Amino acid sequence: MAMLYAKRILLKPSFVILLLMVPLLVFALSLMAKEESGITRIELCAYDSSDEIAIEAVDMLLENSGLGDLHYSSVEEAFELLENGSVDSVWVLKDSLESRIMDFCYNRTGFDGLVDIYEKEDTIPLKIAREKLFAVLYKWISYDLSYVQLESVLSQNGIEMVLEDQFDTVYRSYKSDESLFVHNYLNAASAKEDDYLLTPMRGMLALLILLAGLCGTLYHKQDKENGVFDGTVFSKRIIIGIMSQLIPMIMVGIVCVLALFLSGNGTSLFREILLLAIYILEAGAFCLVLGEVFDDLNKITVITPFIILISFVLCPIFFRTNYLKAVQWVLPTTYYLRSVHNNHFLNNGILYTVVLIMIFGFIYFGKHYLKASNHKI
Amino acid sequence: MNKTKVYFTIQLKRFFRELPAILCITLCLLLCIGALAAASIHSRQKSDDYIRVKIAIVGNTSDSYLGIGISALSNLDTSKYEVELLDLSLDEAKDSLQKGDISMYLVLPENFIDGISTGSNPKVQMVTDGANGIGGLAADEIAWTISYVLNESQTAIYTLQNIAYSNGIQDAYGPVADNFFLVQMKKILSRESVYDIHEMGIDDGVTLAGYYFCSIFLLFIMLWGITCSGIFCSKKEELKTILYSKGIKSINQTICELGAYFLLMFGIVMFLILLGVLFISILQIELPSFAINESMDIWMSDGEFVINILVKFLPAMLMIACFQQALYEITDGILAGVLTQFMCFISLGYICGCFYPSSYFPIAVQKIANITPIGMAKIYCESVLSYNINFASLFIVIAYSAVFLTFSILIRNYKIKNGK
Repeated sequence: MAMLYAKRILLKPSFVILLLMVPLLVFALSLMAKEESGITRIELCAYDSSDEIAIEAVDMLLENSGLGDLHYSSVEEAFELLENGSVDSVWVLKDSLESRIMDFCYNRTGFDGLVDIYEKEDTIPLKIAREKLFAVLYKWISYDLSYVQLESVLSQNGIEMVLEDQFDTVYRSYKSDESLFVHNYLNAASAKEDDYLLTPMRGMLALLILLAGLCGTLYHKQDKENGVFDGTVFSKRIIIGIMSQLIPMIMVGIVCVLALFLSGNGTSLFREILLLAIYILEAGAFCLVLGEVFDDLNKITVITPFIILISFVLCPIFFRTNYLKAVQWVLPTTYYLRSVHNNHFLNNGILYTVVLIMIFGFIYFGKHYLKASNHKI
Repeated sequence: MNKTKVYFTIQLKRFFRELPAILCITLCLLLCIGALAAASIHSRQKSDDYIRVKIAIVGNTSDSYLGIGISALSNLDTSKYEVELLDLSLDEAKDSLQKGDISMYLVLPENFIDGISTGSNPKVQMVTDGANGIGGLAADEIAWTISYVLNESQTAIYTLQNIAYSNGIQDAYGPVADNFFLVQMKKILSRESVYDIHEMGIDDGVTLAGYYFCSIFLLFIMLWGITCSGIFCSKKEELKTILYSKGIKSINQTICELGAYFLLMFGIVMFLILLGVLFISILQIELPSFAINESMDIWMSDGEFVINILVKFLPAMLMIACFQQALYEITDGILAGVLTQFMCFISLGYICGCFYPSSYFPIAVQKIANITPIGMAKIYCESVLSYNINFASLFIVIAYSAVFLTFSILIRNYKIKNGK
């Protein structure tokens, strides 16, 4: 019966083309993501392009761009880019940086900053990027602070200040670029998804699988309305109902796993298959309950876009949010995405499936019991 | 002509027969979402807790220097609005991370401060559950910044100590070191004074709120096509051939169906917007501005907001409706029809910046996205919100509509003539 159902779906050319399109599209997106990009685009420039501190600071920022997509240009070019919306922010390093840093260290009045920042509006990525800008400038601030402090300490003790070269030699001898942090993962078996452009891919593919389940429900309802199952016995109808959701989900799921590996987002084959199998059960149970609660083709078609939209916002596809947690736990995609790096949610997902199947059983058999009772009356 | 009129009326009845059900479910869902969102906002306002990222610190934090550092970060630093630091045991931190209650935890090694003061810099473990995306990138960025600032501070302290010691200042060095540490902290905490920030008023720009309004609006319209999949993917394909034989040509069939669908879409959008305006005015919610240099109050007070959305967004809505119809025409059956809608709109929506701002993508992708139908619709809608209509994009949006409609007619014609 399952083979017949699968064959029926696969006989539709547009469905087969769609299945083939999924890995192709994901692969194309993964190729595009390899191009130079950043969460926020910042144009660096300096009023005095010959200022040594400015030159070195720009080099350091360009080497450690991190979240931002940083470029260096002239002040005029940078403003042109900001005005036509090509960049989010322009950082202009002020002139005479050395004396300005000294003003900052000595708390001199009239100090008016080291960098002019022009931006369309202040966003979180720009705030984080500014922390890095400060860190880079802190190299000179810290140097001058210690120089100022030493000068004060020595003069208090009646000792003449050491030569700047001597100070500089000692200072350089202590320099270290070693990172203080080691990034570890709670579940080391899962791969790290580094590229922010590709990270949402898994969530989008998961929604495609969920949608395949919902479409299976729609397809089944349509068949039911057209009287396809009129001659089928009750026990077989429930199996057909479950199959109508599982088969499209399994087909789409297989191409989604393939797409994950093509985009480089896959963990290990065994884990992906396990995650997929559990997700199909979770999503299948969710679709079964929906199919019973909204026992009408048109009602399900109305609710489908809402489920997809809510999943986009609340499930950790793009960002992890703590809003409306109760709603998050109703959506199967939450369990799948959380369980990729955390086995705790794998168990929760199984529990979720069991609960949903119980709810489905309660509604399904309850409905049929009521129907049979009414029939007797 | 009369037959076409009758067919259009039948289509209108067919689509609008579902309107009460659509409105009821839409209303119920919106009420649920609205109530939950209001409850969430209310509870957050009540507890004065706008904190976004929770980070647990595992290890001995009783050292005075570390205590000062953590206290300064929690109470004095500008980051206190984005980060909450929690003092947890390792098991508690693991459990909280597993449950998703915290974003990460930091494990401070034993004698952390001693190691820092001697320069051995014992490594701090930054533990996340891996599924971080942008959050993980931001964490790495902040870790780099902290490491760099700490290394520079240490270099300065050791230099000061070395030269002071070599000049015979040993006994008096303790207070000097303490003082220098406080000076460094003060400078780090006052880091905002290093920048002179100017928020630019760019005339034709939309704010982030306006950007996301356009994105969510387009995404909703795109996904809404799934709502009518039951009607579009009717099994009674042979009816189309019968209608054709009765004189209702494929062009008339297609336009009548599109017209009815578009009117239903318009009705729903009008309902949702009016509901939104009502909700906002009753609760007196202060909305962020959509256009740079323009206050939202101006829009809301004279009803211009409603007019802008309902009338000026019509070309974009029509284009998407034509696109959706073309996709349903090209696919066979509800399964392929709905999945194709989803695939097309999600991939186009993604590269056109309906999820991430388009500036996150490489320049080449942005250029491609801007010429796609959704990209063009987005440019047009943003220009409407910023009071500076982009007529070139309007023209292209209309041209796209014509192309999709022609495509639908041709496919319908082909299907009818070939009995598919």
